[in-house]
Amino acid sequence: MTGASHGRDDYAWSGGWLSRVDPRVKIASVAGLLAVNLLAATFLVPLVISFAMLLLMVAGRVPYRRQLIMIAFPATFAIFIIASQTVFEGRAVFASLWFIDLHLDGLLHGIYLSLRVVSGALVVVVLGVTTPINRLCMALRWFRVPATFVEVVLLTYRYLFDIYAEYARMREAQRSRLGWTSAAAGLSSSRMLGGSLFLRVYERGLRSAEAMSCRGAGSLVSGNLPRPSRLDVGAGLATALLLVLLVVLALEGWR
Amino acid sequence: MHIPEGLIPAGQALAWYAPALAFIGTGLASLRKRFNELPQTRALVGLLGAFVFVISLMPVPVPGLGTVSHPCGTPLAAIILGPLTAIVLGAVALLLQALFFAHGGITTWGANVFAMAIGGSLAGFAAFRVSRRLGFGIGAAAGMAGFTGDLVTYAITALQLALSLHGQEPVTLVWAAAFASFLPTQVPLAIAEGLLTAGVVVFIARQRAELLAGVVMRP
Repeated sequence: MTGASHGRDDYAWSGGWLSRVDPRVKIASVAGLLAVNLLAATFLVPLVISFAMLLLMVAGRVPYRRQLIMIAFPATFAIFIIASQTVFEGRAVFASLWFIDLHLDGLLHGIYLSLRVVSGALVVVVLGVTTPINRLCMALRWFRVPATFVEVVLLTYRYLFDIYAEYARMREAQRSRLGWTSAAAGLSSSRMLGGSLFLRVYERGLRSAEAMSCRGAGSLVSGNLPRPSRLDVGAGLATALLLVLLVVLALEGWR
Repeated sequence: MHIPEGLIPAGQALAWYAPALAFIGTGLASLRKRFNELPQTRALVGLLGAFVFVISLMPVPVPGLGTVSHPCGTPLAAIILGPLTAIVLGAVALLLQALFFAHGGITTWGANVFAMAIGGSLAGFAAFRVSRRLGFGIGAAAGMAGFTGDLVTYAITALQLALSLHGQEPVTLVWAAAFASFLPTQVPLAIAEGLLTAGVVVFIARQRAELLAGVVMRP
């Protein structure tokens, strides 16, 4: 059910060493890093986390350029954060635009928040692109996430492929029949496309669900992952060291 | 627009997680019952989850804010499967988007679930029910659901941003500024989401009315 990939997680299915690290170790590491990232009020913590994540992607031969493009969304948000903080936060005015005062401490706080956003996004992306969805779901079950939730995660992931395949086929067919030549034709075609897509994918999914049920496939996801290997222990220790370093930096409060 | 990872302070992140988890828990209980009674609904649930994922990942730039906006998809799911199930689907879509597209985040997941999954589903479903009671046709009622769910989602997101970023200014002022900045993009998007929701619901009502068996078909 989840042996395919939608492009974002190609690396996860490639068998690279980062993809082989136990997902439980990864989830625990991500939780620790995100907590420190959120709680530490210093520029250094998000900078060190970002550097560590970039280093990890390079060392793991993850196609990092594609991941960095993905970070563009939270990075563009930085403009909004810096602008809002410069105006709303702080008291030390360094310039005025018409009637709006710009605050230096607000500007610094905005830069800090932006760094925190980018480093947090990098941590989450590393988890997402290096972990096959089925192993991630097994780890979620191990952490006692309800089985129904995990099942919906897998069902949703599976239907993404069906939707994409049907969409491409139907849109091409509509194009060849001049269904997108004007705004009115486009509106009518898109309504038809949305409804037909929904029903066709639904019927296909229903058939495959019945077939799987006939073959005795169960719906529950087990949380029985193999015992941690040396690689997992090493990854856990490396993260623990990084967390200690980050906590020390956070306690120093250097900003 | 999903709030990116790391933006909300830890206390607020936890505060948004609490109601999100409560609603998801209720939704999961309802979904478990549905799966036990009608196992074949798994296909519909998975499909709508994927629909919510795709619809809420279509970015449209917001002028002046330097960020992007998008439709929600949760009102459509709420009409077909009910608001509690739609909340679970919205939460799952947000989790997958955070992991694979850096769209949203893990610490901001609770806030995003509250805005898009809970706000969008409940407001959309309420708008649909009220419109049907007022005598609207099923298409018009679905359109109202899409429009309302979309705008309520953005009102909540703007409030969450204002609470995090207001600094020394009053929250209400920053909220009004953030919401006003979204309006030029969000009103056309809300209209588009209304049209899409109406189109899909009318198509299903004509072709496979049994899928809407739980929906109020008559005013």
